[in-house]
Amino acid sequence: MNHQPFDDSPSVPNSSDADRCLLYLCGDLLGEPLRDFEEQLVVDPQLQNELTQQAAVLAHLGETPISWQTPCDVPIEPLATSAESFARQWSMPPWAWGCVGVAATVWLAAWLFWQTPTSPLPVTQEETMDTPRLAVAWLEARDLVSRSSDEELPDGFAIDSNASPESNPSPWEAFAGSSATAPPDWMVAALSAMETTEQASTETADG
Amino acid sequence: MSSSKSSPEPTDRLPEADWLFEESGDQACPGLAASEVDRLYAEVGPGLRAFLRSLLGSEADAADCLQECFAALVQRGGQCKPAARKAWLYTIGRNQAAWLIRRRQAGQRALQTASHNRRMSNDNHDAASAILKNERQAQVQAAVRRLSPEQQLVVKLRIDDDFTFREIALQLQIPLGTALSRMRAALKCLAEELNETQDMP
Repeated sequence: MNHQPFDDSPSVPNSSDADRCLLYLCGDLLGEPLRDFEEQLVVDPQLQNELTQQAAVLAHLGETPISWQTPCDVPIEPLATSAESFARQWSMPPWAWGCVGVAATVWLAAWLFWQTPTSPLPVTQEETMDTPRLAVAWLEARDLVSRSSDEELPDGFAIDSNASPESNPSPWEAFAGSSATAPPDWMVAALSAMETTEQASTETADG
Repeated sequence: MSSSKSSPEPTDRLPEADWLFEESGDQACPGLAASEVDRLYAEVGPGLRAFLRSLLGSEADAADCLQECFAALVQRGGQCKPAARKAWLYTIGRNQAAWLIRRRQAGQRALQTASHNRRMSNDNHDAASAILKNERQAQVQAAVRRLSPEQQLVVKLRIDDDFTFREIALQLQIPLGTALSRMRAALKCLAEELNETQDMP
């Protein structure tokens, strides 16, 4: 006999006649398997016999009020949606949720700590050696720029006042896209030296 | 019931059909709503008619039997749980077909005489069928209690709670085939207890 899978279930690909009778009598056989079963039923006395035997017992069960014993008294919840099933599958006691919360907070704090740069980018040994020279050069260049306007500047320091803002980006724009958010060491050293010099000159003038 | 099929009238019933329903009994039998009868006729009618035709070999006899089945459903279908109503209809149909076959074999005259005698003792018949029904229900309850807890649970979910087998499998977290085999094993045990294994005549 060529048994078709009942309904759309892949889990019982070749159900027996008894299974198909049971599904048919309970109304669980649908679609093409149902038509196939009914076609086979009218020509197969064995199948008819199986069907009538099961039908008789099911009819008795249907007519009999039964007081079910434990464990049948265990309340059966209505079938949950997949989301509810997922939530129930992951249900935990409150203390466990507390532990998870603490762990998540610690992890987030650690992640933020490592993501936020607290120090300049790693500086190579070569850059460390060049720091004083760069600081001095920057201060000298600043002195030149801060001189009076009637003084003639070297060509290299000429400022094109007609240039558009786009051609002279601000320092912040120049830094934009760079991972460095702190000033380089040479600038820090130069600014410190400049502040010290200005402070000393102020004290001299006051004294 | 569908428009193509007129509602069965009490006068349409075969005169000798009453005793066929003795297992169901006749007292305090709740009927069914018309919508439920319509739904069952649409769902079960065509298949049951083909089944009866294959048993009886006659389209006319099959139509008569089918009408008897649904007449019984209208009158007494409410006493059967919804999950078992299709099986209940097939059982009524099978009994009706068996009676028709016996009538052919025995001859019309003898059965008419028997029918007359049955009508004369109709009151006694009703009382006896009620007793038989109670006895049969006690047998079923005792047989169900002897099933394993797993089998009882599947039977309860399918017959009393009207879960489909797929829903039962999901609910109990077992394969569908396991749910089916538990139900099948339970029916086999019950059939043996209730002596329901005899073949069709």
